[in-house]
Amino acid sequence: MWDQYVTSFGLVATPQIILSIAAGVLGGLFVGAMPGLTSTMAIALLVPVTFGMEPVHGLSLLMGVYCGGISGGFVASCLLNIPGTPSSAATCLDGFPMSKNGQAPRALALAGYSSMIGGCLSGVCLVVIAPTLANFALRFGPWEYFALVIFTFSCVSSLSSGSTLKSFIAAGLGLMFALVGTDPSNGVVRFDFGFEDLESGFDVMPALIGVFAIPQLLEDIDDIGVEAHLIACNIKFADYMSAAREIWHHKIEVIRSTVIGVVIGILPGVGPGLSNVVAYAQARTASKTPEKFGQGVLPEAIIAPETANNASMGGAMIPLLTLGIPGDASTLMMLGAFMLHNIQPGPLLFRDNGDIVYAIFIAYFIAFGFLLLFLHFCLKPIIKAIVVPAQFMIPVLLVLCTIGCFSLNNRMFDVYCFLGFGLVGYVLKQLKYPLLPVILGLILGHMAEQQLRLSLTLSSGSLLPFVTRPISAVLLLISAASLLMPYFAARRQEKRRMAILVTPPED
Amino acid sequence: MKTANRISASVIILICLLMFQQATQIQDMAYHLSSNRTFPYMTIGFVLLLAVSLLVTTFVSGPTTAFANGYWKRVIGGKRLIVLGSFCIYLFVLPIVGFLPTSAAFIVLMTVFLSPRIRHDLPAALAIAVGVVGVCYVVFVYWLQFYLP
Repeated sequence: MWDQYVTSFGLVATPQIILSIAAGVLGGLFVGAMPGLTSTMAIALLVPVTFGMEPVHGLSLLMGVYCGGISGGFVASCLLNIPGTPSSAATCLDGFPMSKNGQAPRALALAGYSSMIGGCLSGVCLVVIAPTLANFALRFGPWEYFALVIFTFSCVSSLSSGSTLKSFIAAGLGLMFALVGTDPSNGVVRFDFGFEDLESGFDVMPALIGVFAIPQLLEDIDDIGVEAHLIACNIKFADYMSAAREIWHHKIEVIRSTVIGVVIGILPGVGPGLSNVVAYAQARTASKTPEKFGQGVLPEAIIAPETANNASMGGAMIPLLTLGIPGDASTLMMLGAFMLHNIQPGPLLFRDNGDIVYAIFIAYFIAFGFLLLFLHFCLKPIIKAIVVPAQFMIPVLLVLCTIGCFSLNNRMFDVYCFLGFGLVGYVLKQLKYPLLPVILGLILGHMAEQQLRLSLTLSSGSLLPFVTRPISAVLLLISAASLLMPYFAARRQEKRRMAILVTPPED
Repeated sequence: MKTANRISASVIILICLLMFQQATQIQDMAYHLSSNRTFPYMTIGFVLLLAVSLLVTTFVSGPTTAFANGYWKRVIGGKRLIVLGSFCIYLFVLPIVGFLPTSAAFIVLMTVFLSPRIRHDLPAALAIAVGVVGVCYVVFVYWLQFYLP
């Protein structure tokens, strides 16, 4: 293993790749800091650009963007009270009041250092857990893989906000999109509706970019003309040092939030967006002074969510690299990038492309090194960038997405797919359907079909091995349990509500 | 919300029926143990079942969350629709006129349209349009050696 690290270090340690990672982190920080732009969009914009690069180069650049994008969200949360990315939503609760109390440098330094520490600790988890899980996953047969896809959909649907039924419909729509084109097993063309262009099916990247970028950009139009009140801030080196001391005093909080972040990150379909809220709630529960949460006084109220959201990054990379299942929207984009470079994430990735995997690990830590550097030296321009008016960003991003989609295969059909999926995404989003299951369905559809067919062929058409093979049975059991979970949670909540209504008030 | 759910469920049911009709035409390979149609039928059936369930719940369940006032006006009206329409026009003009002039014009026109202070933003819009188009040309044509539409 160490040999592979040395080899991979040789691959990454070139001026070009190091500079790409640095540029990625800086760009990601800017994008993440701007409200309305997310790390997912930053990766979406850059994936087509990486097409012309070597896989290690391209993926390292995207890793930098991912680190910067997730981390940058805290800037707008602390200074504008608007989360730069959904992963920093809970940081607003105490980050902004702290800044309002005249302690903006303290809030930013705490959030920045916590992000960096959370990311690094989850990187250690990634390096330790991923190879072990990949080894374990080598035992998987087609039954286990099909059960894993079912597990992914059930997880995404039960954990996503809103109606579970709608989440499943969204996943089903994604699977239906995956049906269009050539059958992956025998080359039979189907669902092409007589259009020649549809014979090869939908390319994943234009669909991904369309579904995530167009609805977001259209919604951003509403923010145009809204006056942003940015809190002035002049952060110094001493602020970082005192933040480091405060974080050291709250090391238990850091460890707890890291564990929360990694575990939530590993779960398919949910990532930093949920982990920061859960970590904040846990920090409040564990606090001796929970009444002070929300007042911008307690450092742990910033440390917990910021550590957790970055810890989710390492967690989300684990299922992506070992099983080919993305943990969140950003890793979904990363999966698209892998596919673009003809690399199939999964347990065999460690055997067949071990050098690339270890290079990604190394790029991950280098990215956090640059994050630390940029937090010290580039925070001022990043703060200025968060008030860039949306009227400039929206048309520019639409043009960049268009050229990105065109460059994938040099054909306008991909651009029209981008538009089509964008429209579908926009309509679904407005009707409160989650978008992540749609894309998961599109990406995992082929895998599900191939594994189901293979399993049925190997078992001569019998479905029994799905429940008699232990791993597959456990995965299906957890899937069933996760489906029932929202129902029971809703019933418990209803019971509690009724109990409160029935209990007579005390005199 | 109920009406929106009813409409969306009905549209999805129609799509499923259309897909089902297409699935019946899939050529089956005799040498395969499992049919070519198994997975498509499973998927379509699954979505159909869920869409019907959604439709049924809109008739039998109690009150649901309502959309905020002016929600649909914002979604299908005003600036969003104009931007979307302009973007569609941009994409269809793009292969005819070419990437560079069309994109520059789109950026300027959209910025001016979206801007609350047109006079103030116009010079910046022009500069950004030229800059973005120039950077795209350098990155895609010179560096990555891709074609532009």
